[in-house]
Amino acid sequence: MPTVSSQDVLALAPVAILALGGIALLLSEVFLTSGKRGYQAFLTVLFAATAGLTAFGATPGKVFAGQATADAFSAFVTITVSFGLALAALVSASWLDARGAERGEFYALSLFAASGMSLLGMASDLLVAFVAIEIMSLSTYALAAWMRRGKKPAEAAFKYFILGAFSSALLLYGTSLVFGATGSTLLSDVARGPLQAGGSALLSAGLVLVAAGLAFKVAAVPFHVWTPDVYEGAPTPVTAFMAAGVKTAAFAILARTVLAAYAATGGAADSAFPRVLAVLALLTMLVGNLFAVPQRSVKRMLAYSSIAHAGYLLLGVLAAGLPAVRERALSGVLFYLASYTASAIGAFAVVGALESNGQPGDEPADAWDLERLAGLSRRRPLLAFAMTVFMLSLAGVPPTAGFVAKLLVFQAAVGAQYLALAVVGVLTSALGAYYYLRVVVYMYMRPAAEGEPAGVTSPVLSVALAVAVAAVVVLGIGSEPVASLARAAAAVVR
Amino acid sequence: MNRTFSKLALWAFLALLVALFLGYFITRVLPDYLPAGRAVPPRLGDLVFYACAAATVAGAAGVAFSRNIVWSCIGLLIALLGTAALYVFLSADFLAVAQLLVYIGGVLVLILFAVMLTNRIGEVNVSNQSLGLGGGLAVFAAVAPLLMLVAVLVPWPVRPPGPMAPTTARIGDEFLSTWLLPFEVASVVLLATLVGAVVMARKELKAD
Amino acid sequence: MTISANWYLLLAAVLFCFGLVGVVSRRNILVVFMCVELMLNAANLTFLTFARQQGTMNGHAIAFFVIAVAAAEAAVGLAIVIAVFRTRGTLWMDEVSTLKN
Repeated sequence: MPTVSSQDVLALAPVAILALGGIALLLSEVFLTSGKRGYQAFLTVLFAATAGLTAFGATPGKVFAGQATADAFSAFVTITVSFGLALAALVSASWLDARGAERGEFYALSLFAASGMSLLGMASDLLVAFVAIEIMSLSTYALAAWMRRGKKPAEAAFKYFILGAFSSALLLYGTSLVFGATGSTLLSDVARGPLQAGGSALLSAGLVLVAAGLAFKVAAVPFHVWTPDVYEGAPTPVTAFMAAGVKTAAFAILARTVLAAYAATGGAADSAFPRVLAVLALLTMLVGNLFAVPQRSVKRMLAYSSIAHAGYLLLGVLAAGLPAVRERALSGVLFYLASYTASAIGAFAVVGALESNGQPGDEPADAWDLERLAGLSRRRPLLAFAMTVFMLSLAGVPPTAGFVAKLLVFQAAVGAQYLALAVVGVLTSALGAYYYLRVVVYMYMRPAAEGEPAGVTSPVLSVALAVAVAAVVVLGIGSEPVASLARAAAAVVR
Repeated sequence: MNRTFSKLALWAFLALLVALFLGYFITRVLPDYLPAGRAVPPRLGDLVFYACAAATVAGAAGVAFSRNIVWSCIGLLIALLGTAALYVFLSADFLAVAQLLVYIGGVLVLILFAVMLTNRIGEVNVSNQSLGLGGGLAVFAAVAPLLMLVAVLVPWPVRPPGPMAPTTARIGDEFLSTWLLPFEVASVVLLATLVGAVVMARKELKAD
Repeated sequence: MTISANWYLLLAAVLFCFGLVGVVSRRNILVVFMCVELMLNAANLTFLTFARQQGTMNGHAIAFFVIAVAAAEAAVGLAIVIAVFRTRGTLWMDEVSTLKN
């Protein structure tokens, strides 16, 4: 019978800190006397920072009989998620405060979600991954329905819930088939292949279903139908957190699963698995970018752009199947996730700052469209500058983080002989530059319409935007420290 | 009148199609893969199995295809009861009871609650982009044969049923040894659910 | 008993497929949710079948997690139904007042 060592417990420290932080914020609401909630966001940032720091401290190795792995990879995921959580908490503070909807439960649910994401970065067992996904998803369903002014938010939560539950069911049925074929749910056992002679079909079917379930979470085409509506309907800071955190965590477990699947089906070249993944990546890049172009609502455009970015990330995961370029591809994916976290949260934060204040009776959020950005450079020069930086990063223009990230991923794809896909990636990025730069053009070249609201800003939001801008620029110019961290993280995953 | 009749005819036709497909598949295609050479007359236990399986499939079909949401609920009840009975066949007595208590006593009652609370919600289309019946049948035709084939490709040996020993204690051991990590983490799932459900079911937030 | 595990797996596959078809073809959100429950049941049946084949208790423990999570999902699902119904309910009230005018 396996026993629990102190190493097992210590490895889970980031997860535990985030979950305990959630409980602390729940209690903060109970003992609240003054009615001032400004400190809750800072408390959240504090817990996120602590979790991120402890992620470094864990002794690398498998814990809980191989069900979880604490290594540089999981540390990188935890740090990225914590960074995203801290940024999103600051953005939420100003957004919610302006609408009188700031409560401890909001931060508590964000922290629970982040603990699930952190665990997902560690999970090396399909059942643990399932439970971690459920922590993440159940919290984000509730966050998506946080504000219910108008019809859209509740419907967004509804849609997110139904499709999330459906994807969990796919994942679980796939897990059950994998369990039958390999006698275990551990990814290390899955990598060894089927137990019985005829079990390879069982295993393949199971792995395909698991991958389909995860593809829902990363919003890969054709499993993306929920994304635009949910991202549009959810409160903007929640959308930011969903886009960054859920994507990071889901790609972490997807990468581990895909690598195990490659090992189980014997090499990358001759099995159907990489081909399916390649088709997914191709469709995701094309559909995400093509559908983003006609969108007039910036939030919806960013939702489609998040699908497009999932396509580039899938390309990286696909390239990781080849052992020769595995380390480069995975480190590219990790770097991409970090850069996307900073850029996307920043972009959504600017969108949120410009949204109408949502006085009771208004229909907020969905009334937003591109024209409202016109002349922002004169009204709010700093906000316009920040938005420009984020747009350039999302478009992949040097010297921002997005450029380095795209470069790393495309280089890995070329290295793995996926030339056509890399070309499609570059071409669709060029298309992406059109709709991102359109936003910049509106901000700087169009005169402002009459009577546009100045938007909300608060010191907290300024701090968050400054940090995000700094992260995007630093990751773009001096990318080496983070890139080497990503390489170290990628080196330990097999 | 004419419309209801044509609708009914369409449904009957589709049901016939599905039944024909399943029947053909199970009697013609699958026996090639199933372990052969069982000329044993069926025993009582086998007949009970077939009855339970048939009830479960019928219930599932009711859930998926019934137009009336109450019939869908009853179908789900039958399907859940059928699977609970099959759990007993698989010598999972404790799980069968848990299925009765949690699924039928909890989940199904929750769903019934929701149905009665919101009996108009079905008419108001809550923007679930469905592919419609054609899309559903297409998905069925694409996925079902594959999954059913996969289910029978490995000829699993027939296991003699063990003695019906209670499994409760062994499951408890499993939870606290092999599955300690998910067991502990499941508490966070429940906590997040609790908070999330309260958050969503409460009234709209106002500044205080 | 002469029932081979394949029959159980076949039954689970049929259950799963019915659930799948229901999810993609039905518009009523509660029916879609019930179909998801069917799919989870199919997964559980598969887990238990393999648990008996392998002679271990692993499958039983996993099935318990599935049941627990399904119950949690149902609770959240009902809360969302109520949330949607609230917003719809208000709409309905508006209709009533327009009719009065």
